[in-house]
Amino acid sequence: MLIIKCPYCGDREETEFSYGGENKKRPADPYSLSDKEWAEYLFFKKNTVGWHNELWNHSHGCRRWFSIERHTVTNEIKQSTPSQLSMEENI
Amino acid sequence: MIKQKFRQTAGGVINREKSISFTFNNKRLYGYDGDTLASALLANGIHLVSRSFKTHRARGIMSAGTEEAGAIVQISKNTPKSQPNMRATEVLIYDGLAAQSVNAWPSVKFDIASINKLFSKYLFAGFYYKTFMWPKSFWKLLYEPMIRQMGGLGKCDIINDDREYERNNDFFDLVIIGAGKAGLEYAEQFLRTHKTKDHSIFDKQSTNDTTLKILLVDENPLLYLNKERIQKLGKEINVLTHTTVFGYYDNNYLCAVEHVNSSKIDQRIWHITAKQVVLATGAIERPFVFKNNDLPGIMLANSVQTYISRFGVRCGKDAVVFTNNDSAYQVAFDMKAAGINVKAIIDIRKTSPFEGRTDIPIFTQSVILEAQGKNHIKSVTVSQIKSDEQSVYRVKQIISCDLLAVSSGWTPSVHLHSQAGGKLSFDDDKACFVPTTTEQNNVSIGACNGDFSFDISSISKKWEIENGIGKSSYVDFLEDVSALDIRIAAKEGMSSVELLKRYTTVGMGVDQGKTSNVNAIGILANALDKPIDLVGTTRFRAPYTCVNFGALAGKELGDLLDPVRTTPIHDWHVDHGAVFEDVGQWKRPWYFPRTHESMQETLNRECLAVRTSVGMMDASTLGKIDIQGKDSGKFLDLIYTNMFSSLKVGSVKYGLMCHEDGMIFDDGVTAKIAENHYYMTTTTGGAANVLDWMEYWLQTEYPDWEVYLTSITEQYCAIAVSGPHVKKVMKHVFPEESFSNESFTFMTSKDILLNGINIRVLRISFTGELAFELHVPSYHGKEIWEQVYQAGKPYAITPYGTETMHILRAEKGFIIAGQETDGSVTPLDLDMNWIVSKKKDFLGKRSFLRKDTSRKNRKKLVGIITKDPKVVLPEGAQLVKDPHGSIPVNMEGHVTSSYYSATLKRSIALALINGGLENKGKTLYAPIEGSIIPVEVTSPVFYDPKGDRQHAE
Repeated sequence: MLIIKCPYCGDREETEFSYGGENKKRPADPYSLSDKEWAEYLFFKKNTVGWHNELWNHSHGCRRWFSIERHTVTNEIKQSTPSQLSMEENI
Repeated sequence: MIKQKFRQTAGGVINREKSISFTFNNKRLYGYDGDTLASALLANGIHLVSRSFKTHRARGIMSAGTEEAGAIVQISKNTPKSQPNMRATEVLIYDGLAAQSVNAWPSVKFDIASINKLFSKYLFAGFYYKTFMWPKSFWKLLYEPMIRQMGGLGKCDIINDDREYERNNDFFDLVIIGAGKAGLEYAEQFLRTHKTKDHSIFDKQSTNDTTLKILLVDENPLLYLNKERIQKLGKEINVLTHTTVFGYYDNNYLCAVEHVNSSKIDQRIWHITAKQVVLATGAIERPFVFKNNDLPGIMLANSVQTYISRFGVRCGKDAVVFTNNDSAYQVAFDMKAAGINVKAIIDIRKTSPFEGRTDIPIFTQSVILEAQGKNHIKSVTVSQIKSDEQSVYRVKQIISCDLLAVSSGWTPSVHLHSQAGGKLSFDDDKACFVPTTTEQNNVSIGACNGDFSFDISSISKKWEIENGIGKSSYVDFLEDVSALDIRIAAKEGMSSVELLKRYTTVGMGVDQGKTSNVNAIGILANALDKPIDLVGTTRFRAPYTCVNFGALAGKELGDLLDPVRTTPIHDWHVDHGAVFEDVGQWKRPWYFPRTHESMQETLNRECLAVRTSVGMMDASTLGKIDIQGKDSGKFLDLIYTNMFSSLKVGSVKYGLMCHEDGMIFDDGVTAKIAENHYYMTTTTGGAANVLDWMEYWLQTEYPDWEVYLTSITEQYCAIAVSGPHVKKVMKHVFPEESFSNESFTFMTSKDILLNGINIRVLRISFTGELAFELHVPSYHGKEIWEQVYQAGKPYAITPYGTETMHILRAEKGFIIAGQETDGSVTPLDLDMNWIVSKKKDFLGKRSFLRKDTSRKNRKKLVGIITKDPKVVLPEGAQLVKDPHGSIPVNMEGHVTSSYYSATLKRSIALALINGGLENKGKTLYAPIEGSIIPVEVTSPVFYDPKGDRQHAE
């Protein structure tokens, strides 16, 4: 059981959250991409070993999306960032 | 009362005032309060407890703790408290306890299957892999039933467990596991040196000024521990005794089982999150590997000492001690002091530091080659090791004894350290694996860290006493794995311990190899001529000891297993005989059978009622989301494939939602209630996902848009009323309203006030008939349902369930998201181009340009009718062009929905097939269970293709 820090509610148990996968930057203009580039965005994940920036939703709590840095080997969690901010950082 | 022959007159922590009566194999025996089953049996002179797993050899009590690999019993057989495969060393006796040997028939002393011993040379390493391979057909008929009959230990009684279990969750700043020497000292030292409110020890930023929460856990009952010191600690910190931490997971998350044994609660599972964990789990002594080392009466040295000090029980009269280290000497002295005749100490080492310091004869540089006895040890054969340290002198000495105490070293209990991700390395001086690095906030102290309270440095490292090639030199007593098995496995290429484990099953018994793993690794390393560190250990996994399924389930049984969601109208459905269907956690009426009516007869009646008169259905489980804010319209344009921003107030529209890959994931109707205010419905199963999905886009990509989403699924009931007579029913319920096509047009909604209740009425149709949906505040749901039902009585209004709904919509070719779609279906695949906007962008649109989604031969929606109208295809049936083609036959597609339609008096089906309606009129075949069913491809709209009926006046 992971203890995940929701940036709005604080430390909560993993069961309150749902996983949103890798925190990927959405292309600003999908239509300017080739099919290959668009497919890269849709279907391909880095499958990182180590620190992983990923999205979670506090679905059984405040319902906010946010991102965390989680180590995929040790499950250590470094920080959590509200979704808007994490997306801005990505850009 | 029968005298306990092996009980000392004094000593131990048992309560001699309180005699306990119990049975073992139906024989009445007596022990004292505080006895374990093992100590009580030993007090009565009983060593032989069970038979081994494969070869049915005699197995006795070999330890005093969780490492027990010999004395396996079944408790309370054929009762609701039955527990198979319990270690006699862990069971506390109580009045009326009934224990039984496992794996023995007709009795543990005369066991018929022990004839296996004669065949034991055939039960070699990899036996299962090699033997039962051929012929294949024999597996099901012969091998499997035979193995099941012979194998296994206790029997699982199929009786409901009536014990009470519960679960507790807690957080602690510090958890100390183990209240032995190291754990106790740590706890006491911690309290002496730290302020009880100093949180900065664990978290530098902490501003918390509460008292630190500290927990000390030990698997032993308080009685066996240092009671005074623990009781004193208990005034300042939390203490849990008779509690085993069995799992160590990520983020310092621990699971423990507390044996409460009160009249109310049997066991309690603890889920603990700790900031810091201190592991003081001690070490386990290892047995020697020599011929017949599994005989009852051969015990781990320190456990012989435990039986004396804790229980006042002598494990024998005439004893021999066999050791390779110093720790067993104190045991020998204690045995002697307790009145056991210690005839000799056999020490493998060249010299013993105790020579000349005791009158017990010490045989240095000597080994026990073998033990003799049938159901109990009678004697041992001792010989001296030659100076080459490889072979022994031919001169042998036989020493008769009824107890052999062995110690071939100590294995730190590193299970929790390892479960937590910590690494191990082999310490050559101490001949054991010790913790090195940790991955989590924990530290190992004391014996589990290889810091023993005695000098281990002079230990001799001899992993097995080789006396020819003996099959009966056991490494794993529970799994019947011998030193020979390990050597064979090594020879056959099992070069790592992980392979060895699976091939020989060493360490896979209910003790999880607590006494056998290190010996097995040592022998494997010898056989491979590799350093032990390179052979490695297997990864330790939870649970550390066996945990009852009942304890893990806790209170989550029966009705509490999973939450059940019911609509406010549920009781009415129950009263009217509904058969329910589970949709996620929802209970939905499936159909409403009358007495003696079959399911199909019910469905026929319900369908015809809707098509010819009027029917009603509880649609309250639909997901409902209230959407407000100035950017709501723009937002819906993003989420749905069609345009919603241009919708007029009071209008309703059907919409499809796609993921970014262009695949449909949900659908539903959305009404525009007011400017910047929408009321969305989703599928029953998709409600939560749709909300998460919409929140995702609002929060991540468009945080500056002003849109507020509120789930109101539970706040509203939805009642669908449908059929040619619906307007008359509606008029009766709402006498003030006009339901003419002019004043209440199709695909509009109105909020109507009825006796102070605001009812949102949507004129939409999922049946193809004239239809309305009444969305009622939940509190009034049942009341309005009842009113509609009464108003409909003159027209024989018929309540119908989900199955009839499915048939009616299939007759119209309406899809169900999740049935016609499976995450690989685009709106274009369903010929729903009309709902895909060309004017605006939306989620998924970019993907329609991909080569794969725009190719011509995609699977598309069609109708399917069987040539024989009576045959109803099974859903999921594959369709092929050539039923006699060579295998593998090309699949054209599959049936997604299939029903018998009473309206059309024939079966109908929907399917997704290559090229879709290009195949209209063609014949395909459904090969099903040996027969081939010819079908024809048709339009998916079977009934009222022009859609006139829903617009009727």
